[in-house]
Amino acid sequence: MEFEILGIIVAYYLIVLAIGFYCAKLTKTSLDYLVASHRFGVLLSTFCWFTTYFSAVSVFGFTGGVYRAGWSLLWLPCMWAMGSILGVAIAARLRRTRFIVPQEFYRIRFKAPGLQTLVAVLSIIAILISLIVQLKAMGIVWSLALGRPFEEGVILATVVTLIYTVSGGLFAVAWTDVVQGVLFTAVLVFGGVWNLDKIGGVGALYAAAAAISTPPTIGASPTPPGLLVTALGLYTPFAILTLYLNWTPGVAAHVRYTHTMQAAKNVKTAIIMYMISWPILLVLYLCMGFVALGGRVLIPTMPKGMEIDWIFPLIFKTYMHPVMAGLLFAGLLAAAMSTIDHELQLSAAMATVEVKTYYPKLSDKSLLWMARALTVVLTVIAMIITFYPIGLIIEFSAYMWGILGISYFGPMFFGLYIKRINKLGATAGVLGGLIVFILWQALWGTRIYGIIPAGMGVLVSIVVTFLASYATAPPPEEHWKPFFPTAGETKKQ
Amino acid sequence: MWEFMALTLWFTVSCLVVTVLGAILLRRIPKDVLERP
Repeated sequence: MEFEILGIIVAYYLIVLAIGFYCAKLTKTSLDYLVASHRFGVLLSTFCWFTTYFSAVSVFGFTGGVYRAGWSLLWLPCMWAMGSILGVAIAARLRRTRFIVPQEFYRIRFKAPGLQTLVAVLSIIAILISLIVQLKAMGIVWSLALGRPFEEGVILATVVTLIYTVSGGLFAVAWTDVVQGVLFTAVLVFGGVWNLDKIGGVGALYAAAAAISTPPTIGASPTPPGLLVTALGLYTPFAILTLYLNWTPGVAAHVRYTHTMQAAKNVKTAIIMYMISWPILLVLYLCMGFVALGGRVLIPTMPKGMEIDWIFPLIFKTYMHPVMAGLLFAGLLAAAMSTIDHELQLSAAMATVEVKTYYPKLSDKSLLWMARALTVVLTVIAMIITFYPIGLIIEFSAYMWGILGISYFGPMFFGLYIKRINKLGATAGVLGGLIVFILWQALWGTRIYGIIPAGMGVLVSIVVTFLASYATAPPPEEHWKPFFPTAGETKKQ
Repeated sequence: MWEFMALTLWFTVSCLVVTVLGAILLRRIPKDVLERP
């Protein structure tokens, strides 16, 4: 075990815990805990948005993908950026009205409390199951860094995350995000620049990567020369189109982003957080791409027992001083924790708001403590399903982004821009999309021309939302009014 | 090389469109709406 690395990770844990305890002083009411009382300025909104977006799975998955299939993996962040283009448009309308958690949109815009509860339950299940990979990532970082047991890493990082999140609620999530975001941005940019410098610039990297023909892992098929630098890589053009359909709506209206929009102090802040985040993400993805492609040049085949997703830490451990490697591992933990903390806090907030809907007489103090207790309970559930995953849950985890995309995108995006969308349209859209998605997944999976089932679910959800809305009576003005510009507002002031 | 550069350019444009769209919305939405708590 290398003590420099351990020391840096422990120091990082102590810093985020200290921030959590400080933020406990800012968290006096349930509204503080659940949505930071809608008080985030540009700094907190931006860091909360982009660090929640950027997870350890992003680092492992993206760099592993580039290592295996090359530069064509850049299509994925293109799709996520496209989702954020729609996300900005959602922010411009959604934040006009204040509410605590995203599912409340269905009660306010469509007067559909039953649909609100259904979507809330689906969202909480989806978040908890999707957390499995994030929690596992923390265990992987721990064992790669120190050679210690995987379970130890998961439990330690989860307990630290839980303590600061329960202490300071969304304020603690966002203030720790500032430290975590700065840490992992600095490390990833350093890695990218170091790698380019080592190989001799983009031209040399291109030439070296184009010549590679070795398999990425021992026993795998050899890589065709030139594959790593083509635009399509292992994709077909049709697969890229359906992947756009799958990812773009999921990112656009994901609950963790619409929740951050609500935590922002106004519409302006909710828009600016996107404007700042994406130029930073542009640099981060390019740097990760350089590290992974450069990693393939430096280490053409992963050593025995190592997975392709571990190329980033492998490069740092092989070539860097232990202090730099320690900073990288702390940065990877920061990337994981900054996503996990918000998702745990958000799922507890969603559950708390639903309890409040059915028990409106609960005092604010009771709500605050209930939110904290629910955060603990949901964290324990997430850990249990991580350590003891039953087959059904693993199978289900592939559906999570799809379920969230179908549950929110069509009714929310079009409900914010088209007055005619009504309660029946939204309900039919969500249910129709979910049914088609589940049936398509169960019957065909991706066997029909590589079409992604979630993409079909989103398409059906949009079409059904329109058809059912236009076939039935238009909604009364008070339903859409909170989200639409008023008559005197259409001209620029 | 052109494929490599074209994809990099497409990604760069995708990221910057988020910022440009945000700037357009900030110009088009009235100030009192933008800054209303």
